[in-house]
Amino acid sequence: MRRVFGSRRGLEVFVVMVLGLAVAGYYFFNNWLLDPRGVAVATPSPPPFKTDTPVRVDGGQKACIKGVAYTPRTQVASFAIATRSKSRSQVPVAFEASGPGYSATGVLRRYPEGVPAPVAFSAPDHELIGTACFHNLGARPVWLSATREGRVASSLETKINGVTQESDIGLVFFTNREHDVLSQLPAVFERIANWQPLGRPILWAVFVLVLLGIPLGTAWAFASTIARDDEPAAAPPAA
Amino acid sequence: MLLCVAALSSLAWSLVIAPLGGPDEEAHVAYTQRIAETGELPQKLEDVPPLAPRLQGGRDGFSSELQAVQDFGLMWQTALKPYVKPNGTSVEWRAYQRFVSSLKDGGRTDGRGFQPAANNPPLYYLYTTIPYEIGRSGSLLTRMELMRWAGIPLLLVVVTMTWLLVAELIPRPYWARSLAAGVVAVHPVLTFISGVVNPDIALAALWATFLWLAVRTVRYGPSLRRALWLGGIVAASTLVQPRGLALGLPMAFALGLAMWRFKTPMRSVVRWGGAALGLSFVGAALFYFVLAVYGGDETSGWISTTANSSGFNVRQFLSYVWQFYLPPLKIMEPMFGPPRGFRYVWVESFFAVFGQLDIHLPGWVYDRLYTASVWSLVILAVLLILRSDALRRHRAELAVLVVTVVTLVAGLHYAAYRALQGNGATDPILVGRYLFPIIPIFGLAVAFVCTSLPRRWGQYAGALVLSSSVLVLIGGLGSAIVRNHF
Repeated sequence: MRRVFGSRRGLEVFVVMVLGLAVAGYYFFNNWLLDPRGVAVATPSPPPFKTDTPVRVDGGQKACIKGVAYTPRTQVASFAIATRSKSRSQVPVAFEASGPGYSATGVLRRYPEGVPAPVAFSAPDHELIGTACFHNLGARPVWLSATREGRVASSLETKINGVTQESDIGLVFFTNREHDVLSQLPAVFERIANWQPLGRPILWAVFVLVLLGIPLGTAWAFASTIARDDEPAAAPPAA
Repeated sequence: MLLCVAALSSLAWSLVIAPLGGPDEEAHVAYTQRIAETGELPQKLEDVPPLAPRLQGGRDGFSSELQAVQDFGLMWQTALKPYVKPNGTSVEWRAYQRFVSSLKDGGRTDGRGFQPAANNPPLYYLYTTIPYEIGRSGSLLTRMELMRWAGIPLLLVVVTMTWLLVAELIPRPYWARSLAAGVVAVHPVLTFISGVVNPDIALAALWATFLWLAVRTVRYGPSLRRALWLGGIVAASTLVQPRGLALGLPMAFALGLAMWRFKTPMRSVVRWGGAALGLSFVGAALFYFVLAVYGGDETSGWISTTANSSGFNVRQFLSYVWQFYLPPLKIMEPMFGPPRGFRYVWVESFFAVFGQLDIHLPGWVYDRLYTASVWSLVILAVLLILRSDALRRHRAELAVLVVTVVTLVAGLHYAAYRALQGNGATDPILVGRYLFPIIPIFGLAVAFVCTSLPRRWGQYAGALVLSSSVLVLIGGLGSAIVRNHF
């Protein structure tokens, strides 16, 4: 420490670097941290990548996916419906979420043809594994966007009347409003904590260390060697 | 301090990248698991054991346990599809644990077949077996994280060797070495690669060590010890990654040049040269033996038999290389393969494309990186000419560095061209991280340019380069968070 603060040039470079990084960091990352953005909480079954092979659900029928994870943040379901009809009236489709001690429904009455549309439903107050059903409330059939692409399809199966369908219906869960990155950090660390052995407190510590330690450490390392150049050369040993 | 910064950067990447979110990480993990669980290497089999019921099939080389991570976490589905986020709820992972514990052997041992990394030689995977064994009692997620952390010491080797290399070539000012080592320590993609399971970081560590040793050899003279070290590094490089084979040529050049410069007696030439080349050949022989026994080929399957028989077209190859760097001339056919050249490969993916090439920064960052890279290269070229008198004192060391760079880059272009021939000109299999074996020279070049400027300007130019790297690194970490969680 004495080396950097003992050298005018080293201290100058250190201060300029730290201030520069702080200003640039604020300029570049402020909006990134605080701009609201949609949060995809879970993807029980990914939508098609290139090829849509839809699942037909007749009037009154239900297509169901078992093993779907619900959390307090799974508040909006997104999936695509096509009616393949030129008539203006659309077929209402209910999204029915259920699990141990949990049941919720959201009805989609108006939606763009074949494009993912959001439907809100009540999220559970705790995480659970349950079932997601798409209930055709009308009389005419609908086609739910689905895929059988190898690297897209999930391992969850779609069934209609107990019959497994070849395609998996694309289903994504979102939060019911946009959030900024900063406010979602606790949820992010909770997810990361599920992936690896470090607990959340350590993750927070690493986060702070990264934000402070990498810029400060880099500036310090560079400035200290600049300061070293300013030090007088060691005196030759006495004869 | 720089080592702490590098370790912290690598640790941060290992945490924010979703499991199996590194380039071909599932294949590298499968390879390690195969060695750790069965003591065998991945093998080409006629009949591959089926995966456990309920799992997605057709991924022969992966164990049911690994496949379950992909399926329950959507890790496979996430790759290259930005709209798919990996699953991360605790209920999903508990369901995964229940499923895996219901499998025979926990589903660890049935991944016997080939997968994309299976053509790689086994040295790096033997290394990652150590953390795998340490975490044996834990879940595969824990073992994978420990394997990721095994990249940290390798990154520290790269940083240290860069420091030592610059200390040899630019001893004063002292800050030259911290600048060079610094740009390596906070290099966004290098630290990312060290934070996932990937042999490229091991290759970088070996080549960085080679560069330092080779420079010392031509500078201070050859010896049996140095020859053995050089030969050993080449052997290790060959046994880490097929690209490592290319190190044989710079090694032979460095040793030959050192022997010529120091007028080594013929007897020593034979002894030392034989020792180095012998070790290199042992490495190469082991590599080809492994391939032969387990049914692979040295191109990782990217170059098919058909392609080999189609022959090397010199004119097409030269046109490809030209258009990689420069706009096409009127006499040229359109670029062979996708139009990915210098900008994407050597700039964008070298500095700031992460994950399975699916985590990006905003477009303006790449515009500025490209402009800065081109201008830096121009300034470097001008300074090399202006300071040619001073550089002449180091011409032997520089010759070694140049031969290493040319060998690697030429080899990469050749391999990319052959890959294009083999896969219907769809993918050259060439990305910026393939330059990491020579990243100490990148650090050296930055230090050379900055120390060539007037003292005060040079120091602030160095501070600017380091600060920019730090910002891109932190931006990359942030992008990974958004990619995986938003």
